[in-house]
Amino acid sequence: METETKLEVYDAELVSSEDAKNFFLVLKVPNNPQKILLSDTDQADLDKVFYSLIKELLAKPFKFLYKKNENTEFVGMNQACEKYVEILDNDLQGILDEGKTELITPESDLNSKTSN
Amino acid sequence: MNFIDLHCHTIATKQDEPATRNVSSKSLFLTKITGAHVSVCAITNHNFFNSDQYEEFSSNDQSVLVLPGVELDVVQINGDRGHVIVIGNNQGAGYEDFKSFINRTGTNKKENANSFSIGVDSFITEIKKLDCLVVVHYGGKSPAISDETLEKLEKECSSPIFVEPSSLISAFIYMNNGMQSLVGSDVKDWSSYPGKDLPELKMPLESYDSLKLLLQKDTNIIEKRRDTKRHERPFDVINNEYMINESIPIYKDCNVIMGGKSSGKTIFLKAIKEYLCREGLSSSLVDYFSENVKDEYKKLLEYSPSDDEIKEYIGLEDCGTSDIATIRNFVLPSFGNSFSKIKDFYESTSKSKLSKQLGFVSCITSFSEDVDKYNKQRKTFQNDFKAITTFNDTGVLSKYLCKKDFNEATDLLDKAKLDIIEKNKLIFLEFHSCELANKCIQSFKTIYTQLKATSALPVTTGLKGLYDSNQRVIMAATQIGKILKKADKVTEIEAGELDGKGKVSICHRIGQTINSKSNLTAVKTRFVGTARDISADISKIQDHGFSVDLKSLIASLATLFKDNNVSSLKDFLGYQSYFVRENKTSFEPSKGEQSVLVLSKALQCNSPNVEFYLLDEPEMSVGHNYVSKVIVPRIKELCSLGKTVIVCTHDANIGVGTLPFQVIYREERNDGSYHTFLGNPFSDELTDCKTKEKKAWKEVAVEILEGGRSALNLREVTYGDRD
Repeated sequence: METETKLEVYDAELVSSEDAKNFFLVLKVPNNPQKILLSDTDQADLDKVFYSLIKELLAKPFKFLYKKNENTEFVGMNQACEKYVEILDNDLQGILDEGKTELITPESDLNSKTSN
Repeated sequence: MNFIDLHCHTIATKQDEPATRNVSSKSLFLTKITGAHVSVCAITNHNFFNSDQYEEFSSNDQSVLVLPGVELDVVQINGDRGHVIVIGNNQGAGYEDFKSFINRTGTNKKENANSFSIGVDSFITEIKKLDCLVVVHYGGKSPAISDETLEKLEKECSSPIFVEPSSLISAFIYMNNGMQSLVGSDVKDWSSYPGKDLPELKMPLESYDSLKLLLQKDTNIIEKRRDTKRHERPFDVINNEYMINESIPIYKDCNVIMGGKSSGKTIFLKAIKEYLCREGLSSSLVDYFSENVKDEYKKLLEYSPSDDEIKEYIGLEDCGTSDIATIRNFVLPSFGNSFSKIKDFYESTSKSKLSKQLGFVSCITSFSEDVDKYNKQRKTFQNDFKAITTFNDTGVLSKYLCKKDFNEATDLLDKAKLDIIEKNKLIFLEFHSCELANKCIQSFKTIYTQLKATSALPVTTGLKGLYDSNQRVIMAATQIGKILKKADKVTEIEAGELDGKGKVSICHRIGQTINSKSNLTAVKTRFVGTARDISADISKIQDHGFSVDLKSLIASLATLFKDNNVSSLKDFLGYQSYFVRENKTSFEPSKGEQSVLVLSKALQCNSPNVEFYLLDEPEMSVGHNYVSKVIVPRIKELCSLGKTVIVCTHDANIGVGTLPFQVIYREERNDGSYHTFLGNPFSDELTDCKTKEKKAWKEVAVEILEGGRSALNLREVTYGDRD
């Protein structure tokens, strides 16, 4: 019988810069929160965020829950962020489904044999 | 192999004899005898023959021939006592005569045994009446019979007297240890029977009569026994240079070729090999020619791992080709900006609503564009217009009409032409209006469709794709690292036994050229980078795992592979072949050891397909110890398995010790002629194949193998075996 992995649930929130020109999606991973700049052009740091999420996920399975921004002007952004977090959760689940056993072979296994 | 023991004690009859000589039961006796593979034995207690015990022990269903006998104290000419063994006939009147002899001498009573003795003259008188074999203690076997007494016995007894191993050879019996085991075990303690090497019996003996006939070199019985091992067809051996053109009977046993230098022995052996090859038996033979040792030794060390061995060592069907390709071709996937796409999707959904409100989406009915009808109508108008103009130009009306009527008719024709032009304009407008409208609708539809397509929702943020590609490349690097750290694989193949080194083996080693300190030959092109380069990159990849540095780390490893043209894990492999001692340390064999190793390969071949073992001077360079400890026992073992050994030799241990069924003696004479003699030690006769000239095998063997009688005697004196 396959046992279902219990997932931690972390919040995801939309925040804006003071001038309201930039928006960020904040992924509240405990001790290691990540911030995605929701810009059309600047996604340079997205790989860092993703690598960080993968590491955290492999250490402890989790998913996100999007909490709507109460600002009425952000209706469209809220809608898009909610969808983005939903797709992100799918990706996280996909990684978990592949199973941790397929992940990197521990270094200790590699050292079990030595050459003559 | 079977053995013969013609000196067995079953009862301790003298005071100084140990009680352990007593055999308590028939079953114990037979268990001990058969356990030692003895198929012929004689019970020869001191001065006592117990007929009851003998008859009980000799009637057995285990194919052990037990002969009656007694070991007597004979008072010699010089007054000293010597031991003489008398072995009697085990059947019919012969056995009854033996029992009478026992009764007459009083050796039927155990109580007489301790003090019994018989003078040599009385002994001879008794023996003359008896059908028996007489074996005397002689030389090193104490108490021995003197030469003087032996001479008297040989002169006056009618029975055969045996004192030397060579005499017993004629009965297909081979003596291993000289005088000590001349006739048998002389067993003192049955718990350790036989306690010493017994003479080997090369052919089964079913009765006393057959033993006696063989000892007396009866030609018929010798040939009858040899025939059981003879190959069906003689071997046609041909070499014109050495005047060899013979049909030689060869036996499924040991066949020895001997002769002086330049007599063509090796050529003869090669001619036998050629015959076997002509007969299609090349795969049934192994050979050893001392002249080929150098080349054969090189072949022994030849080793190159097969594809299957390489795959087995690496442990991957594709030898890591796909893993290397994954590293070399790694490209970080572009995961784009999925958030923008989501935003676009929702914005395009709004646009979609707007376009529906505009209504053009529902305007899907095309205006009629009947090109054919349009063209037909235009053609008709053009023809009509042309016809009216042409008619007007003919001037027909002016011929028949008055001016007023003519003008009126002309106006009417012009009116008709104008009418045609108007109608033409109408159909032109109608047709091209429809065409324009349709194109507009189509354009709007296209724009709408495109708008809709760009607004599809993404299915991934790109996170999973990033994970998958990174995971693949990390796994590939890990796999490569794991295999590069694999220990060398060494396969040991037994290669023989060497003095001072014990059992030695050839090692076939396959391993990583980058890890190995010793000089491996590369399977492909040697990888010129270092293990450190690769290991460092792989360690970093493993340490960093999922990180932004992965791309540059993989690129570094990929560059290393590309620069060294590495496409498979085979590129890191090498192999080596070398010898190891019994204690597993490697060594470089000396020339003599190389001979031993090459010889061992042929001699120790156990393939059931191999029937013929052709050995040319196997004693060359290997040492006498190896000859007596390894070569001779192995030849005897092969013979006992029914194999055919043909050996060309100068060595007495091989030429005599193997008790060959066929002896081929080659002789070169001063007139330049070559002669081939055939014979065997059992008949002690060699016969020239062409001239039928006869020679004594023993004399030839002593001359060729021992260096002549005087040399042999000198050795025996030097060793103290003869006075």
